[in-house]
Amino acid sequence: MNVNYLTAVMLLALTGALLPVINRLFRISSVLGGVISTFGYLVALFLLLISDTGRSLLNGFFTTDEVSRLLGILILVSSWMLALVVYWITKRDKFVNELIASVMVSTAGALLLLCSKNFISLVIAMELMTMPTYLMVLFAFNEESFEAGVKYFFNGALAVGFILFGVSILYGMTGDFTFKALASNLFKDPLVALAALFILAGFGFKITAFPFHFWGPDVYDGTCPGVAALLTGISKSAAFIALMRVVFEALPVISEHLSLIFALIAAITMTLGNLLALAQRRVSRILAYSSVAHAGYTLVAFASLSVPMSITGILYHSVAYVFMKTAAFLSFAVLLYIWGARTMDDYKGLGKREPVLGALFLIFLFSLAGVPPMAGFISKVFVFTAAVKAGMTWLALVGLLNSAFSVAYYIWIAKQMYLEEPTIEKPVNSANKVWAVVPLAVMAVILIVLGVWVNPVLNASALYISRLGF
Amino acid sequence: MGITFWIASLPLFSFLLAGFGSLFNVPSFKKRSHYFGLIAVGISLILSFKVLLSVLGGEVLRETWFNWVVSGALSANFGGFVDSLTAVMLVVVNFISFLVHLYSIGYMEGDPGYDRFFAYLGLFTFSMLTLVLSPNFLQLFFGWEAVGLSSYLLIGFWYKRKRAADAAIKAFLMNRVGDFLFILGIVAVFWLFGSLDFDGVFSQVSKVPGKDLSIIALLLLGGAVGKSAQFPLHTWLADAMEGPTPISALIHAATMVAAGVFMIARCWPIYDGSSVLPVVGVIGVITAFGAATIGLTQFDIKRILAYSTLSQLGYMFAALGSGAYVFAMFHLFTHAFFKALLFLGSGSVIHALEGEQDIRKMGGLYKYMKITTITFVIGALALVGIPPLAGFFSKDKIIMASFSNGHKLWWLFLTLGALLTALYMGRLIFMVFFGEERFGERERRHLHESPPVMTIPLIVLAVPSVLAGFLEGWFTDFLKRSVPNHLLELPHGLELTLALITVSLALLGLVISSLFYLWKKISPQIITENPLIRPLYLVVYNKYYFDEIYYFLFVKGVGFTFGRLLSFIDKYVIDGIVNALAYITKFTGEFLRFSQTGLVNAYVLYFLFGVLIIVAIIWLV
Repeated sequence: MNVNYLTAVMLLALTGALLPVINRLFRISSVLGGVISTFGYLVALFLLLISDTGRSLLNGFFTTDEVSRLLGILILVSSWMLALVVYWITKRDKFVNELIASVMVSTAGALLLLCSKNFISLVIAMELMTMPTYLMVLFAFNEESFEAGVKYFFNGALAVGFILFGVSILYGMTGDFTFKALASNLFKDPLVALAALFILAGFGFKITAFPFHFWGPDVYDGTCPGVAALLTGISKSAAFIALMRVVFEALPVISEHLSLIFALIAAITMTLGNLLALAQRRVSRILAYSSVAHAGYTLVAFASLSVPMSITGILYHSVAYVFMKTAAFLSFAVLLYIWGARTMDDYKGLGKREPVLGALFLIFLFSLAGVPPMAGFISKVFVFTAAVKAGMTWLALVGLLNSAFSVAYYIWIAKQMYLEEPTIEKPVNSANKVWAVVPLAVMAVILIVLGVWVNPVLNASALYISRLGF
Repeated sequence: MGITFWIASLPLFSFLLAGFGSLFNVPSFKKRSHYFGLIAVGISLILSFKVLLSVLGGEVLRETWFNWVVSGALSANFGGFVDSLTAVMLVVVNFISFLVHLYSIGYMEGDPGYDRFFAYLGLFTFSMLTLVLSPNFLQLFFGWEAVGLSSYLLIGFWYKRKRAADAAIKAFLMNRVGDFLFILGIVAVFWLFGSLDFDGVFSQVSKVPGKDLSIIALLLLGGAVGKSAQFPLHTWLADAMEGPTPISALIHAATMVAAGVFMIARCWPIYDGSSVLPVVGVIGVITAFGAATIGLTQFDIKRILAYSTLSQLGYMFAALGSGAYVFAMFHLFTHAFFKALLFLGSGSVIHALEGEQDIRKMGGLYKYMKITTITFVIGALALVGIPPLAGFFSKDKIIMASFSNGHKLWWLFLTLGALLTALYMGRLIFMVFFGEERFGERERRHLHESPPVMTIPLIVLAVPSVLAGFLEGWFTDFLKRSVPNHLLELPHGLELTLALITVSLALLGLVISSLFYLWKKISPQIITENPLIRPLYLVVYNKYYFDEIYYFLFVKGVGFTFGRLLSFIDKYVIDGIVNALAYITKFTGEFLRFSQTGLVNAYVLYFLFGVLIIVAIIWLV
């Protein structure tokens, strides 16, 4: 682990921890809070940009590599944009600084999770990422969010329990927690498979894979959309990468036998997510189920783990996903704030009312649907190509069919926004939109750039693949 | 990165800044949006002169901006490749673009889309520079499509006018036909050569059989025919005149439409190795002669110039077809100056007459706008090919090349085309600038010479229109470093005779047109109303009914009949399947919703069941 990386994580967490203190002492406004958190983000981003790779720290608990650096930068940027938009939306709420503090601490956890090389550090980082989100889910202080919070907490606790149980089996067999030692000491054994399965189930909760996904839509829909953006975008992307490390670095012995399980879960998850999304009338639920479906697409890449391209697929999909999902939920949040638009009917004619926000939302939706030139397209290309190369053409076909299905509800939102006459007459809150539009526009630009300029991700994945020794 | 990167990307910054101002309605940007373009293109112009100088010194620049995509055997960089061919194009594009930026400050003044216009201009300049700088087919295609996009946006600039919107769509669709063939050609190149880099492809040309090369050359030619508006995809260019006049000068006369010529010259090894060159030439000759005849019958000042552009592009294709790549490029070079001059001049006239474009309602403008008249006449004489103006040198070389390389029939039609050029340009000048005044009192009061921002570009452009011809020797030697010029030497006397024939025909054309339109000795009605000639006149006047034929064949024929069939299938077969699928999907979705009980206990149960099922599967498998 590189000192710069660690410093970045600590600075981010510290800024987050200090924000509520400062707020308690001086009652700072949301603008000042935004400036302070932006400062924290910028310094952390700078440190990440100058950090080098391949060094380990804290006794090999964490090791930075190209993957953690690339994803770390992107997660940091999207978390920063999220903080800006959330500040803009909830600027009148007196607890907004506390909310952003949780965002920052959770992001620090996500950054740590990206470079965990050890099951202890993995669980700690994951809990650091998850703990603040238990608080954040309650942030709306209404019935729905309390219900969501309870569900989230129960399921989360269950999931961590499963992961720890699996890890304890592994420790009992080898006496070691580090990925490297596990990879060399483990052998093919039913008990190892069971342990892997328990860990997998815990991760299944994090990434909302069937049948561990049920809490997802309820929570994403129940809490405020800004928080849902963090849960679906940043937390899940970091979890994808952590799962990738577990599968390829810690348990390669057993992973190859899990390919079929991955494939089945992937197929069911994406089909289920898309079918259910199609049946919704609330836009937030559509986005929530589309997030379930996207977990399925990523699992397609996991299922093709016998070929190196699966890593490219996982990596690219996490990269694209963190931006498009976060941004889609944020666009929804902004439109909800300005127009009170919640259901499909409310979305009628919104594109004419909000030309810029509508266009940005459309970009994110199209990226989720997999339309070029956004990154969501090229990531799906890699994922499905990996499946075909791994000899799972059927899975790729299921994925393609699902992509086609999913276009239906994304286009549906677009149709409501642009082809229907407006139903809402007056905005609920009218405000200067610049600080909502600029972060979203930045994310849209990054999404398009990453969709055209494929090299950064390909380079990172190539280096990682060569390190794994495929 | 390097210098070529900045040449191409500076106009992009202008696009981004002006576009930002336009998109977010920033008032302080709106009035200043031309500065972005002027500064960016100005610097870009200076840099391209610098590049030209270093290329003159014998250098060939090869720069890589960034690696775009690496996938298997396909690897493509964005970069800059500057040999003498590109160096000349860089200077021409930036020079004309800079003057058009300057001119547009006056021409577009007060237009509500002022900033949008400059944003599009920046986008176009960036795309065109990317196109000419491309070191491989992929970037070429990127630039190719990007100039098509900006052309579409600018033709439909006044999108609230139905004619402009229609013309934009027409241009886009006609170009699609060509671009479809073009992309097939690029795919074929990759398939046969396993590379898209110009260097890599052209060095292997000799290893590929001529038949395959011919297929590639034909497919690429399809793209060139669409972009350069050659027969039979020529009909969009005249309609493209619905765009603002500075755009007609920049895109639809001087630069973009010449991209086809540039592309063929760039791909000369493929064309030389194939047997497609005669096809290129025949297309060129047909367009050169046919468009000239149409130009003779039109009344819209910009359309006449548009047909003249078609005709001159036809000359360039004819030159390519006879293997004289350098002469084609030389005509492109000189034509860019005087045709931009003519279009900007016509814009000045239209501006003065508050949007009137019908030459029947003009006349005698000489008294009111001296600078415009003088520069326009210079441009016209250059186009007609009166020595020693620029057009004489370049056009005469093309005509001579077609003769010396043994295409006697082409020579005949190209020479007759020179006569027709003189006729329609003489008609245009005499009807617009001389003779009696045919506009109303209201226009007369408004009539004025255009402001200096508009006349200065005219004067600046008049200089190369006069002098560029003298660069012939230098230009030919310079370009021969990168493209060949296949030319059989003619005896000196014969060469002189041919030049004399061309020039005397051009002069004859001017005299005849002055008989008709200046001295009024003969009325044009005698010819157009003559029962024997009238049908022919009507055919030409209606542009050989190409629009109608295309409408009948493709809109009515394919579109309507085939469309009906498809509509039937779509309605009853496809929709049936889709609706059934949608119904089933929705039903399943609704059914699945029952699993989403919302109860924590249920979810925990699912969780455990899930693990159990997976364990069971593992155990079984």
